[in-house]
Formats: sequence, C-alpha cells, structure tokens
Amino acid sequence: MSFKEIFNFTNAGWMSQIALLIFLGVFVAVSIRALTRSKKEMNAASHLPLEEGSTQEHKP
Amino acid sequence: MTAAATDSVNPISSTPTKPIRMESFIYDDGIVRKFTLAMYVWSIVAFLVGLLIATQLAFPLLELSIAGTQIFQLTWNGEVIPSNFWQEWLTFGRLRPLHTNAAIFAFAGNAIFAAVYYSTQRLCKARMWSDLLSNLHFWGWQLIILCAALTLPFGITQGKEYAELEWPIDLMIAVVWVGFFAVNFFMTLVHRRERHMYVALWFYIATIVTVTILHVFNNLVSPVISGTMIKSYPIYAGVQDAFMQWWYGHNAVAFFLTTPFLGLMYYFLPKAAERPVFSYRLSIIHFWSLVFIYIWAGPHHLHYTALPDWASTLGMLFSVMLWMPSWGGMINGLLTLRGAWHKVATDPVLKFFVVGITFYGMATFEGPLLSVKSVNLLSHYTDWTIAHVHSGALGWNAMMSFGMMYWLLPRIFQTKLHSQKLATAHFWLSTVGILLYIVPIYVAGVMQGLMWRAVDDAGQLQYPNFIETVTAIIPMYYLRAIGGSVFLLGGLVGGYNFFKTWRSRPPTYEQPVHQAPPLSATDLHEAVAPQSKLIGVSKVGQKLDIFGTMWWHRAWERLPVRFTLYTTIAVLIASLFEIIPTFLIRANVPTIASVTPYTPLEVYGRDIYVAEGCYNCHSQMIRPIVPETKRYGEYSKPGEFVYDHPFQWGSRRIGPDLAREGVSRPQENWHVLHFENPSQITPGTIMPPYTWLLEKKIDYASIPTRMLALKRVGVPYTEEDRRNSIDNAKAQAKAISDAIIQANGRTDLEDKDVVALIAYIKRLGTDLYKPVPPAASQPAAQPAATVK
Repeated sequence: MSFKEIFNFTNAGWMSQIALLIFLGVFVAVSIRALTRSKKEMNAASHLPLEEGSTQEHKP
Repeated sequence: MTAAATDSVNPISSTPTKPIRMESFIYDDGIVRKFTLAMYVWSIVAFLVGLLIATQLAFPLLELSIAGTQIFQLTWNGEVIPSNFWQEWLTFGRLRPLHTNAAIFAFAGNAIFAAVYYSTQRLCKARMWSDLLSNLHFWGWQLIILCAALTLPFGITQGKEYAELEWPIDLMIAVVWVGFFAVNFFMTLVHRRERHMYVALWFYIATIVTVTILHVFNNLVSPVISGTMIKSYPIYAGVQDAFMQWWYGHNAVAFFLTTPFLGLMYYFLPKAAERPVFSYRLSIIHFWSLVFIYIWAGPHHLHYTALPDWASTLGMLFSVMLWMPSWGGMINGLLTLRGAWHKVATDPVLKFFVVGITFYGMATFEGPLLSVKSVNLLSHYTDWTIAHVHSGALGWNAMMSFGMMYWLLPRIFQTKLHSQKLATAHFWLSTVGILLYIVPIYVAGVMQGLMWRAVDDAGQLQYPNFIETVTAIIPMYYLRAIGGSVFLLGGLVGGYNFFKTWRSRPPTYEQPVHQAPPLSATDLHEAVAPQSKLIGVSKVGQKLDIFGTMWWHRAWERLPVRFTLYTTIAVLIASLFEIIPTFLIRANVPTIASVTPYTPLEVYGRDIYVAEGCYNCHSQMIRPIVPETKRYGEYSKPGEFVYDHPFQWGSRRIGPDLAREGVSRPQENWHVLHFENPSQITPGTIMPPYTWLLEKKIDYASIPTRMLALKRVGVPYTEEDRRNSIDNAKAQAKAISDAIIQANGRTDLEDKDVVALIAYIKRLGTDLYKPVPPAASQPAAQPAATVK
C-alpha cells in the first residue's frame, strides 16, 4: 500500500494534535535553553551590535 | 574573495606567550549605500502607485459633487473621463499588483538588503564574502523590479496575490536570491570572525531559507511555450492552489516583512539607543517560537471556503498562539529603550523605531484576532483587511525602514544628517498619514461587513443591492486618499533630506581598517559535552542530564550550516503537516461528476480574467453562510475548482462575488454594455470601463498551446480536443455574438476579446446545475486532486 493510498483513507484530525505537541516540545526545549544560559554569556551576546567590529584586543 | 588584508600580531594580546594573529579588513559600505538609495526611490514609486489606485477608488470618474452640488467634472467627447482614462494599463486590477509588488519586494526588499549588508558585516566582523555577488545581487534585484514594472501593467501575471510575476521573472528571483544573495550571506557567515551568531543573523537565516522554499513551491508552473507571450499555469488547481498560495502569501508576510525587520530591529535599535537589547533570552524564545508557529498560520486566510475545516481550524489556533512570541518581540524592543526614553523626544531615528515597534504590536494583535473564525466571518473580503495590512506595511515596515535610513545616512555618507528638523517633520507626516489612512478604512471595512450580512425582520437582505455597500464607504475612500497623500509628502521630505545629506558627503569616502583575530584563534575548541553532576544514577540518567543542559544548541548556534538546517526543518515540519493531507486526502476534494474542463474559448476568456486582475476586486467563493447564499446563490464546493489553474477565489470584494455569475446573469449583452461603460449600467459603480475588450481581437492561434500547457498540469484535454480547439472556440464565439446581436447589441464582436471573457463568465458556477455527461464522454484522466 503506497503512502498516498494510506493518506487517502485516513483522518487528518490526529495530525493537528501531533502538531500542537511538537510545538509544545519545541517551546519547552527553547525556553529551558534560553533560561539556563549564563548571564555572562547572554550579556556578551547582547552587546555584539554595540561593537563596531574594530576588535583591537583578543577576547578569550 | 574576502577583504581580509594584512595579517599582524596583536600587541595587546591577553596571552603574551601565545601571540594572536590579527586580520585586517574593510567593510563594504558601498553596497549599503546602493540598497539604501534603491529603498528610498522604490518607496516613493510604491506610495505613488498606491495613492493613484486609492484615488481611482475614490474618484472612479473625474467628477466630484458635494451635497448635490457639482464641484468639478472633466469630460472628453461628451463623456466624463474615467480614472483609468480608458487605458488598459491604468486599471485598478492591473496596478494594484504593481503597488503591492513595489511595496513588498522593491521598497521593503531593498530595505532588508541594506540592513542585512550593513549589520551582517559588523556582526560577523568580516567584509561580505564577495563584492561581485553583492553587486550582482543589487543589480539583479533592480532588474527584477524593473521587469515587474514592465509586465504587470500589461496584464502579464500569474494571477496569484503577491506571486503575480511570471515564470521568467520567478527564475530570475531564484537565481538572484539563492545564487547571489544566499551564497554571499552564508559564505560571509562561514568566514566570520565572531564566534557567536547574534540573534539578528538568525532572523536573516530564517528569512533566506523560508523565502526560498516558499518561492519555489508556490511558483511551480507549466509555461505556455510561445514566442509571442509570457504565460503559465500553476501545477496546482483549486483547493490545492488556494492552500499553496496562502501558505506562501501568509509566510511572505512572515518571512519577508516580519523576520528580516525583526533582525533589523534587534541590530539597529540597540545601536540607536546605545544600549543592548533588553533580554537576549527573550530574543531566543522569540525567534524559535515565531519561526515555528508562523508557518502553520496560512490557512486562516481561507476560513469558510472550500478548504477542509481541520486545516483552517489549525491555522486559526496557531495564529492565536502567534500573538505570544510577537508581543514578546515587541516588549523586548520597547524595553530596550529603558533608561533612554528621554532620547526619543529628540532623536527622529528612535521616534520612527518606537512607532514602528508599536505598530508591530498592534498589527500582531490584530492578526490573530482576524484569524478567529467568527471575527473573520465579518472581516474577510472587506477593507478591514486592507487597513490591517497597511498598519503593518506603513506602520511597521516603512517606519522601521525610515528609522534605519536616518541612522544610516550620516554613517554611510560620512557626514552629518542635513536636517534633524526635516527628519522629525517626516516622522510626524508619516504618523499622521498612517492614522488618516487606516482609521477610515477600518470604519469602511466594518461597515461593509455589517451591511453585507444585515438581514431584516423578514430574514431578507437589508442591502440586497451590492452597490449600496459601495457608495456608503466612498467618503472613507476620500479620507484614505488624503492620508496617503500626507504619508507620501513625508516621504518626499525624507527624499530632500536624503539628497542634501548625500550632497554634503566628502569627496572620497574614508575606509576605516578594522582588525579582529580569525575565528580559529579565538575559539580553538568546539563545544564539548559537559560532565554530568549527578552521582549514583544510571548512565542513561547522566546522559539525559547532559542532554538537558542543551550544550548541543550552543554548538548549533556557532555552526551556520547546521543552524540553517534546523531552521529549515522547523519550517518544513509545519509545512508538510498541512500540505501532505491537503493534497492526499481524497475526502478533501470530492469529485463532482458534472464538472468538466473549460472549453477552448473559456480557457482564453479565463486568461483575460487573470490578466486583467479581476481577482483584485471580485471573489469567486461563496461561503456557507445565509447572507452570502441569499446574495450570491449556492455556496461553493471544493470539487467545482478542480480545473482552476490558478484558483481565482480572491481576497476582496470591492465588487460582488462572481462564483455564480453564470447562473445569476447569463445575459451576454448586459456584460458587453457593462464592460463598455459600467457607470451607465450600474450608477455609482467604481469599476472602470474596459473598452479595449471590445476592440482587441482573439488570438485563436494561441489556444492550442494554452491547452497543451494545461494538459501538462493534469487537465484531461485529448489531442483531438486540441486539434479542434480553434474551430470549437470560433463556434462558441459565434453563438455568443449571435446572442448579443439578438439583444440589439453590437454586431462586430464575434472575434473580440469580450466574447471570450463572456464565455468564461457565463460558465462560472453553472457546473453544479449541468447534467452529468455520459460515461463515454468522461475524461480519460483525472487531475491529481480527484484521483478515484
């Protein structure tokens, strides 16, 4: 039975629920990721636009 | 390729025992100057065309009466001059796509590129990878815009909103976007000297990847191979085409007008405010949530249409969820100004940014609101959508672009801004202009929606004559034209300021040399997995603990290719979840046996309908709600559109729906008279005359090639159908011409375009009422949508 044939006789309702679960998973993962980063790292990243790019000294 | 120049040893290295090799480089600001100028020039073109078509709606005829007193009237040969001056390339249907394409791809597009080229170099501490590709990108993009301006007014269009450009231009877009822009951008990322990719770059990556996907899949077409015309038909039909179009259309807003401008905001706002973004953590959540949610929301453009209900409900749900990340971004932007609000009072750049971000918040609150089915029931097809779009395009995109322009001008021209006062005047004219535009159009939209659905105590339509709902909102159109004029005036003031600033530039631009260590010198070690702090647990537990630290995401962020891949996956997952079932589930598009392919003359007439841009004012989709079925007839079924390449459901009802026009108005001569002079047939109408339809001859010779192109996308025309197509078309044209003559109409129309268009209009909505053709005449093949 081909992929197309399977879909021909399926109901799409479950796909909506899976979609929401996938989003929930991504959202939770991203939130954990964002909230667990160190303040130092965040500060360094957020200051990048304020550097004009003329780096005169090495940043370890 | 890179601008890296001399290598040197850093004298102030923090590790004296191990000197750090420094690389010198110069930023390419020439390309930023070019894109900034192009942005400004095309903005004026977009505003001018917008003002022209807004004026055409307000003044369909060049006359004005107030309280019964005629103020002015311009006539020619005894007739009041229509606002298109009887010229086919000046109609609303042809110029509206020019306006939207100029605003989106020319104005906003060049603004995006100016922002990307300026900020990417600084954030990567690297010159763009290839000056040649930068310049090919610039000139290629301007050529595309020029091609759009030279084709759309002449009716060369694919007939799909925001995707009107025909296939040769689409190919150019693909080459310029991917071959020049994307390659140059990603190679710059690869050769960058700053390990961390700042969040603005993430938004640019999402833009480049997603626009590529959207553009390619929505523009898969079968071209008509002919030396005399540029024409194509999409491979999708009806429901599938509508779905693909709004998957594209909505995400064009998301990934062309939102994500790159958020990248712009995250870079230029901190620069202008001279402080870092309020919360970098919030920007991470903002990015991933936005990218992941936006792509699902497209089907909210198709509520209560023939699209499957589950798909539109899913679109609504994700649209409502979209409100969260959008406001997260808005709050992050506004709070970046903490401690710097006093600067807003004096700095026009911050003024533009504050109003721009506020409009972003308003528009992204209103978008989810409009996606709720019960609200959409009222708002869809009305001017409410137009007000919403302009609060986003003028309020968010234009204000952010002009804010960036004023920040860039002194830097890229290495001089002082000519006048802060003029910049402030530009800001106020723009703000007042936007408000004068959108407030009356919101009122017009709500009025339209309420009047269309109003029923009296007897359950009958309160305003059965559509024209009543048009004339009621004309005063709002006057106000809109005034608002548009004020906004344009602001743009012209900005142009003067731009010109004077440019005039005061130095004879030669300085080229500051910057230095930074190469990436390998600053970060020799790739991210490695940390040790688990858990003791006394199984190895699996420790692994889960390590995984939970999300160290691997840090690695992604440093690797542009992998980061891009994961962004692509996020976009594709959402797209496939909606697209696959829409295309493959048979129940979505039930076959209607009486629906047959268009006749050769109807094919030709439909192509005229598409070329004239009729979908810009007329829908072909009757929703299953009582006021609509009372006004227009039986609601539309998915199976009625299986041969519609492209679908022509439209998104607006400046004029009435035409889905059952063939049933409700089959009189041929009425259409002839209406096309010739709509005002004479329907007093108060704002439709322009289409006199050229009565003059231009049908190109019968082109019909077989058109049918061949349609056959390639699944319309079951046989070789015999094609062979006989010219004779059949002529026979049908003669029958229509005879009917016109019988109704005391013109006798010279048998070979004219108007006859072909009438053939198509007479067909609209009639299939449901036709007898089922005998089995022998059933088509040999079925289109993909109706597989049995």
